[in-house]
Amino acid sequence: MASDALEDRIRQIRLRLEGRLTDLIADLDAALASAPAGAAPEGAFDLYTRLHNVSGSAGPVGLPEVGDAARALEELLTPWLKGGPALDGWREAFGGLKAAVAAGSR
Amino acid sequence: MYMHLQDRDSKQRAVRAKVVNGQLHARAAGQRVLIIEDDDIVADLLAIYVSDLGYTNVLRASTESGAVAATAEFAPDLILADVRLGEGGDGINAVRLANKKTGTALVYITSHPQLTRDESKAVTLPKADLTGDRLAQAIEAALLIRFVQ
Repeated sequence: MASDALEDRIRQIRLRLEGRLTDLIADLDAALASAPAGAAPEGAFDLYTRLHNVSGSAGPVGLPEVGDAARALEELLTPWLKGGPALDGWREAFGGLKAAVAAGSR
Repeated sequence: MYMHLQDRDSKQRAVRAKVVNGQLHARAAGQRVLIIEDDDIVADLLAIYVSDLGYTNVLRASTESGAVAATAEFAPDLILADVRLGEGGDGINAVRLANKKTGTALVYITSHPQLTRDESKAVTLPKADLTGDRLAQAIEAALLIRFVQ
């Protein structure tokens, strides 16, 4: 088992990540609504990077469902980043990320 | 070398890192560790884990160019590197450019382990599977690779 001090430090990192997830969801909502089937909106690379970071960091800080959902959405949005439409299923994947974030914050 | 994904049950993914296979991770003192990671959340997590292992001489870089500069100045004994550094570049490229010192142990911690397939002298740990225990095991493996080179 990990020491309480180590667990507490990881818990603090998790809280930091959870604080960022709300902003990421809101920003993705706005961006995807503005350009759901066309070229990537301004700032798409930054959004994609933030999503990619969540897909990598959520699991290690104890939110594996959020990490999995972010990774699924990230894959579907890769063409969107390159100027094309997102792949089919991105709405469901985005819904999955929202649900995972909501569940993880409880 | 690839550290395989194992169970995804977070309850079993203990974060203890000071003991590997029943032995203290005793080589840490005096060793220099460079963390190459653009995500501050993961960088902080790695810093906590290596600190828990006993490493006290730790430097961070978040870009390819920063990693090259840091490696030249810091001469790390151990590098923990992400592969994709966002707009900051490529971690593999950074290591190849920077790591001229022979015998540096190298662990990639990445969401894209397929990208390190050709890095035969490095250990790759999938980021989603990162815990203190698995990082400690990956470091042990990387040190072993360095030792037998």
